[in-house]
Amino acid sequence: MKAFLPRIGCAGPGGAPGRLPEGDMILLAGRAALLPASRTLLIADLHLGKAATFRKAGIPVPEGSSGEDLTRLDGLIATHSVKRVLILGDLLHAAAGCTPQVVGEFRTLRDRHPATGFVLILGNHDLAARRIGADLGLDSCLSVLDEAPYRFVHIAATGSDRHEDDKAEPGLTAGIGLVIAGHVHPRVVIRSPSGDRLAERCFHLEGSVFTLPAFGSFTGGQTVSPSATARVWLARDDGVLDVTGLVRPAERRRHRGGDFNPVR
Amino acid sequence: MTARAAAPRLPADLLPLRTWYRGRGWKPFPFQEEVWREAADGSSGLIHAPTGTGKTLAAWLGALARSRRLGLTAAEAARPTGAGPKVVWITPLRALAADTLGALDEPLADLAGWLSSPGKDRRRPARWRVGMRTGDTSTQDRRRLRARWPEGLVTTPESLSVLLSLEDCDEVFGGLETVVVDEWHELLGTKRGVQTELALARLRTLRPGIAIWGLSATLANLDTALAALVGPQGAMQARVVSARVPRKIVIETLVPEPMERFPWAGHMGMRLLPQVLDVLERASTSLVFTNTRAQAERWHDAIRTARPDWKDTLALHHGSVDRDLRTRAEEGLRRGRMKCVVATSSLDLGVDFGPVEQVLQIGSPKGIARLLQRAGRSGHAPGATGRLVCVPTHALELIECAAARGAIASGVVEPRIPLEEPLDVLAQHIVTVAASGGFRADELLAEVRSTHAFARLDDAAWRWALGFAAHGGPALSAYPDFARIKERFGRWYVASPSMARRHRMSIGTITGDASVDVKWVGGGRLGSVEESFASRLSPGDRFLFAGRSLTLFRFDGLVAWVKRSRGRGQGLEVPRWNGGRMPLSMLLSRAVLDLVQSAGTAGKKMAPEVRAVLPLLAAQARSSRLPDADTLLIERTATGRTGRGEPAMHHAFLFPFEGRLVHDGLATLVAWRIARATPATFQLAATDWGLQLAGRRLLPGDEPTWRQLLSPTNLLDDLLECLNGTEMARRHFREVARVAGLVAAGQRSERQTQASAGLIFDVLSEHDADNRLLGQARREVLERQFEFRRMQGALDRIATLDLVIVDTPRISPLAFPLWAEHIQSRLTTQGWLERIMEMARELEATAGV
Repeated sequence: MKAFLPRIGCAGPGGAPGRLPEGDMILLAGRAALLPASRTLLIADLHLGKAATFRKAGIPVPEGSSGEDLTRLDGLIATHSVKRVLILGDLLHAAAGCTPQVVGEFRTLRDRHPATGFVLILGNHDLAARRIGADLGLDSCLSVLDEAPYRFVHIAATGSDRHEDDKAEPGLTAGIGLVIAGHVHPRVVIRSPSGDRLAERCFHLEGSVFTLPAFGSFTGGQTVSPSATARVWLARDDGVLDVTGLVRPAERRRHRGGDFNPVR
Repeated sequence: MTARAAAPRLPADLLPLRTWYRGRGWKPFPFQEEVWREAADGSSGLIHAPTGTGKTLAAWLGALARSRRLGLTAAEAARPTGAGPKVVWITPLRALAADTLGALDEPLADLAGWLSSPGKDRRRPARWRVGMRTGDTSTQDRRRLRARWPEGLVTTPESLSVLLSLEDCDEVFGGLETVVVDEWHELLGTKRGVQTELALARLRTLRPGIAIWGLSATLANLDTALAALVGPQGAMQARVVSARVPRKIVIETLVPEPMERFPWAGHMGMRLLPQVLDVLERASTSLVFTNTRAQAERWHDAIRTARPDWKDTLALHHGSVDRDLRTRAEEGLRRGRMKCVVATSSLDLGVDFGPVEQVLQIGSPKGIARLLQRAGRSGHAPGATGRLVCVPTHALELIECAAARGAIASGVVEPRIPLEEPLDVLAQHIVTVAASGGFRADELLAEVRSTHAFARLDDAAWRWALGFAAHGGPALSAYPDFARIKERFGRWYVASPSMARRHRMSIGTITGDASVDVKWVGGGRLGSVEESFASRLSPGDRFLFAGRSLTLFRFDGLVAWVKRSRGRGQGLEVPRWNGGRMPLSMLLSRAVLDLVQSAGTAGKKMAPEVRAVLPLLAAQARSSRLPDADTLLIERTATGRTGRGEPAMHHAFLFPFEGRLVHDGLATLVAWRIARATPATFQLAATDWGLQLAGRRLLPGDEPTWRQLLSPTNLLDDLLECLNGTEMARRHFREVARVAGLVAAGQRSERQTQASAGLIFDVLSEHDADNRLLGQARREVLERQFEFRRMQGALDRIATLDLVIVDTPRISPLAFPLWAEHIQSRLTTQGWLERIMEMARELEATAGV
């Protein structure tokens, strides 16, 4: 089966709330993507209740980021008249963090949009979510969702972290051309020849796998090293920018720390 | 409070100590007898003597003498054996604990009769036992210790804190008589030192009247070191006992021949390898010290390649090499089986290696105290001569070697400044005490204020720390799910047994960068490298580590599995460890500047090292000018050409001679002051001699502007403000967060509570901006990254200097090392989009060339 490459539009560096660009998939400011055809909003890795999990373990971290993330989500749903929110895994951080407050905040948001469907693709952190899916007001919890030409999963089976018993190539199923996933929390580092360096969260298209940045603010990231054919967009709260051309010259400036004698 | 000139006679009950000493063919030094006398009387103090002069036996026999006298009283004699230690011996390195244990055990058999004779009680042990309790001690051994405590307990500051968190710690330490802190100069000026201060204050409360002794190498501020040890109050009665033991050290520098081919910059320079091999040949055992672990790997590999026949007598020793491999090297040294051990500061301390004949210092000596300490590792017997050979790796280090030699000859040495009010350490200590059976807030405050570090702690800071320990600070008080300590009937207790357990696991103030184990595919551990290094490698990549050429087989995120690699180590990648940014000390910097300046004035008697560098200095004088003590030299140079033929980069090089940390701070400050007016991005670099600013715009060239940029006015405000423009405070927060319990300790902590300190820094900055730990992180960055106090002095000095601005067509000889230096940090006041656009333009321009 052939890889399907959607036409990807991005909202631009200013976020441009007014008019959306053309495309099968629109990358939005605020670390989310939109499938205009089905008015589906894609987000991944909220990790709600992570701060609460820390506090349970005696580590004093204030709340705040969860509330902000939910406000951002609320805004995205309203702005783009979203019919369905598809969460690509890790909605909750851990069972210990499922405090009534955390669950309640999400439920409030969910109930503000009765006409919108909420679907969770279960992630490795979502053991609790399956149990309390109804409390959260989720319409369904799935481990994988195929809607040709897309497959939605939490962890895309790629060469590096595939298990021995799971040799199947992603997208081998008929009709599936692009795997859309979360889990990685991708970040990218851009370097200039003169030594400037910028690290940001990003959208990352590598082969037939499209990875979303983590939606949650209180989440770390993993620096990806995009291949020559990859595409990368910076994913900021205030905009999206295609930086594929800036990432590819991967040769970093070499440290000049050897022996130097200019007169030699 | 210094040693009296004429020593009074040794009291009769202490004469057996002298006899024991003589029985071993030694004669006690006057300072040792003085300590015995003082300690037997129950006094406290600081013993200051060069390495290898018998500080350990002075303090230990003194503690025994005190114990013997106390044993005469009924109350002490009645205390059951094994209820708790009588002497606690704190050592800064757990690696030293075993050696210390051996040294303390040595006299016990011979002195058993003397020690127990006054006691009427037959149940008293005929012979004292010594034991150790460190982070390496197994659970089983810990249980055994607790069942029957030895009289002498060797431990580390961390393990002592753990013991102080036990519920029955007042029982355990109820019979404590003396605490000895070994290598106090090493702890001083660190958070571990503050942790030790707090632990000592706790012990003084649990057991009023204990004697505290510290052992220290030479420092310029011994009185402060004493006050930190026994508390400002205790210091009134305590005293510094100084050994007047002459310690002969012969220092020479290897001068390259011919000089023309010797590098100007870099720190891997191995041009002198043949001479180093010759020097190694002439002694049966040598210690080779380097400044970084990467350098140690390279030199070890080079020597191994050049002298394959030394294979079994050559070893590598640094902090990332596995404990077993290090122990093997140490054992070999002690038995005189080693020809040569290449080491970093991991071998600076303690451990008596009798057979070491000479010490080589590769690269800059950095400081006089440090060089003396390293030199002291050789000829480690009373009266013997220490031999030190300085090996410069590039031209300018020749001058540093000469400066260090001169300074040692004149007898000066640097101070060590103790830390003040690290709230993260205090927050940890509060939970420790809460776990041990609780405290009343006012009593603990008084105890904490009895330390040097917190003597001036104000009520607000105390309340904040207590509140932070209790409910995570004001921003968190709304969350009842978080509480580490709770108040009940006026006393604070730890919230739950599981919290106490978790706290004990995380006690400590040492933080490393996230590290990854290196293991053989077939089993066996080689050590650890930084995670960032391991994650850059792909399977099949070769690198040099633990003195071996390795091939990466697989990296699974926690372990880098390796196989032996065939072929030479040369040209292989070497892991780069963070840290090792030690600056040239102020004393040494001054001495270096003096030498550079004197090189310009003909007719003076010149050190051979300086004579060798003369051509380079002459070239500097021709193309720019030589720095001197009355001027600050600023050079401006443009380099590179864009596609349109304009200069690609503009550089400014400044030479204040204030050590690399101050230069780092100055570079950040100046860049910030320029970029505040017009948005810009700068790359910054610093060495011990100067600093560099590089950017895409032309830098100022007039004296008044530079005067303003370097003005001492508003220094603190400007620096704090510009910390936000850099990632520095965020990066530094790691340590503060770890100590205060914001980041779970250890790499195998529960996954769900793993978060980078940077992430927590962001959350706190946004939602708990008044969190004092953020302020502390900023202050620590200022002091540790920039040596703030020294920087203040530097700017005040610069304000009195003439500024000389020279435009050089090419990078000058002195600027060259700065240009070649790794870019250390960036400072930007531009928005992300603007930066991206500039980077894009730059990439296009270079692609077009």
